[in-house]
Amino acid sequence: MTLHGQYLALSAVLFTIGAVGVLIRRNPIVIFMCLELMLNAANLSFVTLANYRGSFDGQIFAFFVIVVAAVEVAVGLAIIVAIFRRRHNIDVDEVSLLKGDAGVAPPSL
Amino acid sequence: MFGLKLSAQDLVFWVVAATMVVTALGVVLNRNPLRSALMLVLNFVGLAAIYFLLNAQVLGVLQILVYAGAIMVLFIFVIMMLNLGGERTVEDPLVGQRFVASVLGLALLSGLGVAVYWFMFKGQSPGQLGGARPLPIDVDQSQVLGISLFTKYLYPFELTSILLLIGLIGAVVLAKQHLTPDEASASEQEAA
Repeated sequence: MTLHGQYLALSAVLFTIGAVGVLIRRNPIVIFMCLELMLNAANLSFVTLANYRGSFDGQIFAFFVIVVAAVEVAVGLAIIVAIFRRRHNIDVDEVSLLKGDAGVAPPSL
Repeated sequence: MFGLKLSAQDLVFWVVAATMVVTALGVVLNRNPLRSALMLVLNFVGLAAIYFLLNAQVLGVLQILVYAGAIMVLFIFVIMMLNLGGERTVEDPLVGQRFVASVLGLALLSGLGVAVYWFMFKGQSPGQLGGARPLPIDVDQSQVLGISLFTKYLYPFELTSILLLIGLIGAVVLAKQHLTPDEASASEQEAA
C-alpha cells in the first residue's frame, strides 16, 4: 500500500459529502459551499498525485482550479443577490423556472 | 496504516482528516448558512494543512489566502447582507429527493472507493499513471511553479486572466441595480 492512498480516500469522502450536499440542500449559498467542497476534493487529488509522481504539474492544475472557483463564487453570489433583489427569496425550489412563473408579477426594469 | 508504528506525519494526517470530514458534514447538515460557512473555513484550513503534509507549501499558503481569506469573506458577506436565516421546512416539492440523493451518494462513494482501492492495493489506476517518483525536495517551489506557469502553461495562464476579467465584469453587471428613469430620479432626490 502506498502512502498516497489515504489522501485519495479522504478526497473521495469529501467529494461525496459535497455532492450529496448539492443534492439535498435548498439554499443556493450552501449549494455553492458544497461545490467548493467538491472542487477542493478534486484539488486534493491533483496535489496528491503530483506528490506521487514527483512532478509539479498537478499543483499547477490546482492553481487553475482555485482561480476558476474564485470566479465562479463571484458570479454565482452576484446572481444570488440579483435574484434576492427581485423575489426576496432564494430557495432553489422557488426559482426553478428559467422564464419565471405566472404567479409573480414581472419585474419592472 | 493502523500498525504499531504510527509516524508523526500519519498522526497529523488522521487528526486533520477526521476534522475535515466532520466539518464537511457540518457544512451540509447545518441549518444555518452562517454556521455552514464557518465550518467551511475550518475545512479549508485543514486542507491547507494536508497540502503542507504533501509538500505543496505554496499551494497551502494560497489555499489560506484565497479560500479561507477572500472566498469565505465573500460568502459570509452575502449571507449577512441577505440575512436569510434557516431554510423553510414546508413539504418537499421533489418527493423522495433525499432518499435518491443518499443512494446516489453511496453509489458515488463506492465508485470512487473502488478506484482508490485499485490505486492503493494493486498499484494500478485507470489511465497510465506510471510509478511513484519522489518530489524534488531541494528546489524553490515558488520559482519552479512560476517558471512553469510562464512557459509550459502560458496559454492556460493567459486564458485564466481573461476568465477573471469576464467574471469581474459579469459580477458588476449582475449586481448592478436596474432602475427606471423615475426610480433613478427618486433615489437621486432621496440622496440629495
